[in-house]
Amino acid sequence: MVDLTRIPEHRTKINGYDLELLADVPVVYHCHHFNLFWDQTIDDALGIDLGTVIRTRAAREAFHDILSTLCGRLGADTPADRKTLAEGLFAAMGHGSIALDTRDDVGTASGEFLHYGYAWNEKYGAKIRRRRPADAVAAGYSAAAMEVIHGLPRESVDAKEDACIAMRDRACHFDLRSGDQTPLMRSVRRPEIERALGNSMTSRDESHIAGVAAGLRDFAATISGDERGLVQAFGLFVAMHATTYYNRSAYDALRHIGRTAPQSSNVMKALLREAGHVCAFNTFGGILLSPEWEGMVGPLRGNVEEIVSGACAIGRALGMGRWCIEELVPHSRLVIRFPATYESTYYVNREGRAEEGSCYFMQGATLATMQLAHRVPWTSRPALTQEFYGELFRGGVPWRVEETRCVSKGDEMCEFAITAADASAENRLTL
Amino acid sequence: MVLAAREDFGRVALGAPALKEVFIVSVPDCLLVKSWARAGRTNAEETAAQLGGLFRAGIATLKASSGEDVVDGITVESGRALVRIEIITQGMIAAFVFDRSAPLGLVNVQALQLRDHIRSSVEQFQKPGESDSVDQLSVETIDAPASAAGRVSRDPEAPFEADTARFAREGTPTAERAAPPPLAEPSSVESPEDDAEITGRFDATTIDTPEEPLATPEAPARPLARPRATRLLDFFRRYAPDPHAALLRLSLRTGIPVDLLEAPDALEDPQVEALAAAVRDILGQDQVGV
Repeated sequence: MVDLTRIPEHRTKINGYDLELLADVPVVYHCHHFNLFWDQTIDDALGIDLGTVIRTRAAREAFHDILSTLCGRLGADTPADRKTLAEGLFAAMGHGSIALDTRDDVGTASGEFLHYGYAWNEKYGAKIRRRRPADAVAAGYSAAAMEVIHGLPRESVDAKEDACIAMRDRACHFDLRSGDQTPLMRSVRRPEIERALGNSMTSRDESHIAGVAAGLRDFAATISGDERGLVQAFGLFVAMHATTYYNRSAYDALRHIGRTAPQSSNVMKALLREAGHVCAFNTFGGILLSPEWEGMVGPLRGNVEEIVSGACAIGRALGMGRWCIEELVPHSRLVIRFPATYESTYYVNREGRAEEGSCYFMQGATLATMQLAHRVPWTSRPALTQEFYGELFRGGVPWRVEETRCVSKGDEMCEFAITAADASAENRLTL
Repeated sequence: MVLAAREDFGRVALGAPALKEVFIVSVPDCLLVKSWARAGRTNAEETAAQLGGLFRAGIATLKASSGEDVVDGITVESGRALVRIEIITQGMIAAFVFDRSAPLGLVNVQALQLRDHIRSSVEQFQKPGESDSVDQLSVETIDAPASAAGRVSRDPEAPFEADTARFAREGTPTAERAAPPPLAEPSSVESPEDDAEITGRFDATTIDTPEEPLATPEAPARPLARPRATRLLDFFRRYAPDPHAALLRLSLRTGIPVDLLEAPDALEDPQVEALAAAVRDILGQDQVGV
């Protein structure tokens, strides 16, 4: 019988870079705000049909790597053990509850409280109706699980969600079928990532940032899916996710847009950036306002340096890379550096040499850090609601971000400069 | 002019001291067309959105509880106010807010008088023979009844998902018909006007300049219509899942540059159709009646 409690033993990080791995596959923690926004952007770019296909395949690839490696390491030798592992891992990562019923040619999966569908309902369900399923990640995961359980060629199972709680169905349901193997892409796992890394670095206020990050990481290590298979913390639904999912879906979509509608490329990049902005604002902000933060670091005073350092520590703890403050002039300028990001390390392995900075998530996240530092009245402990977010940014943002260096361009690091800008319409959404 | 000019409301209000507010609301999208208030208020658009939902729910409730097939209007009463909602056209309702102390019979009479007055204003403006202005108004008033307008055009590509007359006749929409999304943030506030306030979501439709004469067949109206693209964007901004990213989303979906979306009057017909499709898709609506 496979021992699910041993899964956390296979969570590791690349020391000095604050990049997380599960079974040597790069992972990161992201909140539902980011996940939903990211998926929506992919679908906006590609259309819902192609978007769903791309996202499903990205999830299938990433989770196949994780599942197959863990099966080997945990001794899940029988189909029954592999099924147990697959269902348990999905919940442990905070993606919800899934029940697999598979043979070597067809199968089904049933899902409850799936991170995407459930969170979509929670966030948008009262406002708009969804007409297409939301759980491409669970679909891809189920396909990968069927491949691993039955020893099928990787990326050969197709999955289609035919009922979804986001569409007000009672539960989610997936149809799985064995088919032709799709072309495989070059692996992006620990060895490939390590080859892409520049030299590690330290930050201003390094000892404080490193200490808080370590404490948060210890705290995060205790977090696992609840009885629903969800991780609900800091006012968010949080999931551990394979970075390949985000990277492959975004860069594939960008490539497609570049071919079919190049005039929209910058719009898509702006939306990817906004996803990062939404993520950092909600996740970093939620953590900064949490009792856990106060217990670990002390009450928030709300000054700029405190918030920026705090954001860097949180980013590190969540596996978003080694956030380092290079320069901070309150109300004027912030420069944050990384020896590499989970985006740039993927890019150089899959996409080749970039002509411009390609870390769109991180562009938005670093920009949000400056927003958090200057525009949130921390001492009044505001609720970080959608309404609050809308109020703050409806008229534009008074900062602009530029990725001045990027590993994907051949630079030795990724560097983001955030400077003051007019909160004009042109500056809306960091365009 | 259309929908009762400002002095019309004022005149009627003189004879109806218990009348506190009037809202004219397009349905099913629940957008404020026009409002009047005896005293200041700042959330007319929010109220309009709520009134649309109230009307729909009220009709459905009446049908379910009493089996009534045809309902002309509904009345909602609280300790302080009495709200009478009447159908103006297939795509428009009017809500009259009275002080609760007014006798119910008087409220009914005055509400019906006001309703008829507004209806006649719409009909007058939509008389056959005013081809240009009628076409413009058909866009603007959204869903004037063909019987009244004679040949009022309705955008065939964007038929209304539901209309008030059908609600009244058939009750609540079927499950396939999505209810209009609930309220989003109001996007404008009213401005005080002496002792009363008159506001309109559709500036061109508000037509509140007292010195302007009522439209007649002999006096063609000036261009009134807010372009459909503008109304679509306005609608979308109110109900988009991520309002702050609304324009970018639509741009990415349609391929229409953001700067064009910021000046939607210049969009060409195929672009407007693409815009409408994107709005429908993102909002999960089969049709969007704007």
